[in-house]
Amino acid sequence: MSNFILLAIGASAGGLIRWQIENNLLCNVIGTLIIGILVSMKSKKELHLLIGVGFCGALTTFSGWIMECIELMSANQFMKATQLIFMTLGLGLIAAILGFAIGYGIKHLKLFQSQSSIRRSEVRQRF
Amino acid sequence: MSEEASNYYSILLITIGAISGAWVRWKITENIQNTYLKSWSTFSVNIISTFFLGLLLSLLGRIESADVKINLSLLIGLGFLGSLSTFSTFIMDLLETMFNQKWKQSILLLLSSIFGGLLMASLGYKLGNQ
Repeated sequence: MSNFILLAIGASAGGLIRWQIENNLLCNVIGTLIIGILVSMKSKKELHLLIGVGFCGALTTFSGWIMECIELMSANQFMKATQLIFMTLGLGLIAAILGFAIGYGIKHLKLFQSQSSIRRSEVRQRF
Repeated sequence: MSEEASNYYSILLITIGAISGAWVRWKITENIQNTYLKSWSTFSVNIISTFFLGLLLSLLGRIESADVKINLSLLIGLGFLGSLSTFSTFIMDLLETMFNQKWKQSILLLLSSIFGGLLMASLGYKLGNQ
């Protein structure tokens, strides 16, 4: 499939989900968690384009986050604006590291795989 | 327009905006292999879209028709600029500099993104109100 179609599918899904959730903080955290998983699994280029560049890129937004801070500041709510900045950054970093851990678990510790499929691959390795 | 029809119309606007935003971001960042330049290309995309979001919001205040206002904010604000800017890649770039223990660069990237973003957004907003 052409690269553009992969990107378009991911981006439209990400954009529409952000529209439905109506919460930039939540979208940013979810998107960062997913891209963390993807990056640590060292996925193929096509999957990175679909989910990383397309879906997560469109689901998360930098401009919306900063604009929310500006709106709070112009309403003289400096405390809330500072809170939003630090909370988004902190939760984003935690989500990314959690994503790295989950991705590592899936790839190396063979989590989320049934025992029989692990046994089958062990048998295959032995012979 | 009936409620259902306007819902489909909103979906169409957001889809068009989100796809074009992601495409522009991909084209800008695609061919850069150098990790140093990569993080700054994400930075510039984010800063530019923040500027235009500020500009858009102030310009929307001048438009009288509520329908046009909503449609433009869905197409350009939520769709195009929301998708053009990205938080997830920003965090990935930030963590990459931290894992490589390039602390100066991570602090520079962090501070310039946040303060640059705030500055550009208010600049765009002011410009639209001129």
